[in-house]
Amino acid sequence: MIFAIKKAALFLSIFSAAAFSQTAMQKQYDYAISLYHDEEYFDAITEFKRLLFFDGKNEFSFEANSMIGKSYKAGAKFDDAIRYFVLAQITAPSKDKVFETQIEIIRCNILRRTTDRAIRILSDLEADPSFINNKDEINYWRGWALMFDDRWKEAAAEFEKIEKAHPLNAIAENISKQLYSVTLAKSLSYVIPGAGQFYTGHYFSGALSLAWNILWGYLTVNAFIGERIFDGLMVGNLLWFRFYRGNIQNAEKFALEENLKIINNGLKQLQNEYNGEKP
Amino acid sequence: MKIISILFFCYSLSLAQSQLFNSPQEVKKFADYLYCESDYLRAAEEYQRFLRTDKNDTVIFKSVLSYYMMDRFSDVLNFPVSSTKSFVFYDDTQFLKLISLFRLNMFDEFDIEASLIKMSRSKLKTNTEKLIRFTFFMRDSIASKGFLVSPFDENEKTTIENFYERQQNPQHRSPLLAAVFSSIIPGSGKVYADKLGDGIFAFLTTGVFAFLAYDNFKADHKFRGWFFSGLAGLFYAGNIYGSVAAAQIFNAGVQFNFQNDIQIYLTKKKHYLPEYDFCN
Repeated sequence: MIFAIKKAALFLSIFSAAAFSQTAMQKQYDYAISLYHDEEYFDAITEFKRLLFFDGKNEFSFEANSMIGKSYKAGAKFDDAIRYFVLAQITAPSKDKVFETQIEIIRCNILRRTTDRAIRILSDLEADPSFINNKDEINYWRGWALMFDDRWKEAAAEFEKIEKAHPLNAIAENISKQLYSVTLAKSLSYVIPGAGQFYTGHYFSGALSLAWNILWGYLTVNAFIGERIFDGLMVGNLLWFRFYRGNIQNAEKFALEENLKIINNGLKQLQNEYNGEKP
Repeated sequence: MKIISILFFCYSLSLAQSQLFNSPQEVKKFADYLYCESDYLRAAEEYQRFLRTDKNDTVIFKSVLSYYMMDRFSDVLNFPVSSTKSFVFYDDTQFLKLISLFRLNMFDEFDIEASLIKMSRSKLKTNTEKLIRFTFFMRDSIASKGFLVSPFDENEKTTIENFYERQQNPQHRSPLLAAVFSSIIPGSGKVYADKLGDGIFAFLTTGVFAFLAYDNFKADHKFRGWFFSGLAGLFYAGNIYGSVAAAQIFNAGVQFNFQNDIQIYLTKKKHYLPEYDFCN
């Protein structure tokens, strides 16, 4: 009887010691998670790293690496975030988790504007038959990548693949329609000086450009008619040609500036008004 | 008795597990791991945590070294370390502080610290002497060639001599000479200040406007004559002013490149800081 009690006490003690170790790890994980939720990202990373260091059995590898990645991402340290997401991916317990981690890597790439890389990873995911049921999510993030790459029309097409009435489809389509064609602005200014500026809504600048070109054009032609060839060449080359070229460059600059404004407004609209998942 | 011992062992183990992440030794181990992962900021914090309850010379030095690795030189300078030789890393820490002063361009404080190191018969005396020589270059101070190259070995001597030559004979351009050149031949001052393209452009522009002025006066187009004369005068004066500015920019560039090359060289040499292998 006494022997049995002794045996039970011994078993209980060993069991409790082992269980306590588990609890300590879990507590550490919970503590790190609470720091993450309190937006204490620096401390959260420290505590997740501590968990990784003491987690001899690698039971928390995936969760800790993934959360370190998320914390770094929240602190806009995208290179570090990707590094830890890759580590998480290596220890991912299931295909779903691999996909989830890959999406996090894609989102980091979108945010750090390495959109080519994001699109490449998305294509790899699309080609993988394991993720055949995740097509919508792949298209969704490809749409975001294309928006961040200023390819709004292509982005709209990606969102349309998910659903015709997808809210991002309308936003991307709308922005795409608002954008000015830089080539058209330049071409217009080639044909009629100042026309490119008119096209981008810079009427005063367009009128000024036209006036300068008329003035120097007139003086150049007048000099040639008066057989002052050298004068004609000089005024034509140093003044007319300079203003003509300036007018084309100006039209291009305006188109790019206006497009930047439209894109920034679009991104602001997405940030403030769109409630779905964002990178 | 045997059973009691085993029970005691198991409960101790439980208690140890609860202290798993917070015992000083575990904190130190974790800090060492962070240090070797190059996560110096967190390593420094963990070392500080360890030092609140324990004392260890290596940990103190690795704390300072962590700040140094992050280029946080003010933290290196403000780190409280023992000022006695009993501190194992005394010489190393003093030298780290010296490099920090150098990198913060605090040369007056550098001189004081350097003389203290020299007096204390530091094992890093030669390294200190080498760094002192570089302050002569950085401050543009005068020193003899023999003095400047003396602490360096044969491999380095040529480079130091090269720096010395560059300091003694900087390839400066005289702004006055640039102005004189440009007033004789427009654009030549710019060519002298290493701006060949600008020089040719200035020469052509001034020349063309001057010719246009002459041609128009000759053809009795007085307004155009004066108009182009004004433009030619403007370009002529602007070109002289531009030549002086170009010479000054050139000189600033020479000085900048010289100091930049020194910084690159010192970075390559890790500012003569000895190699510390704490991770293997």
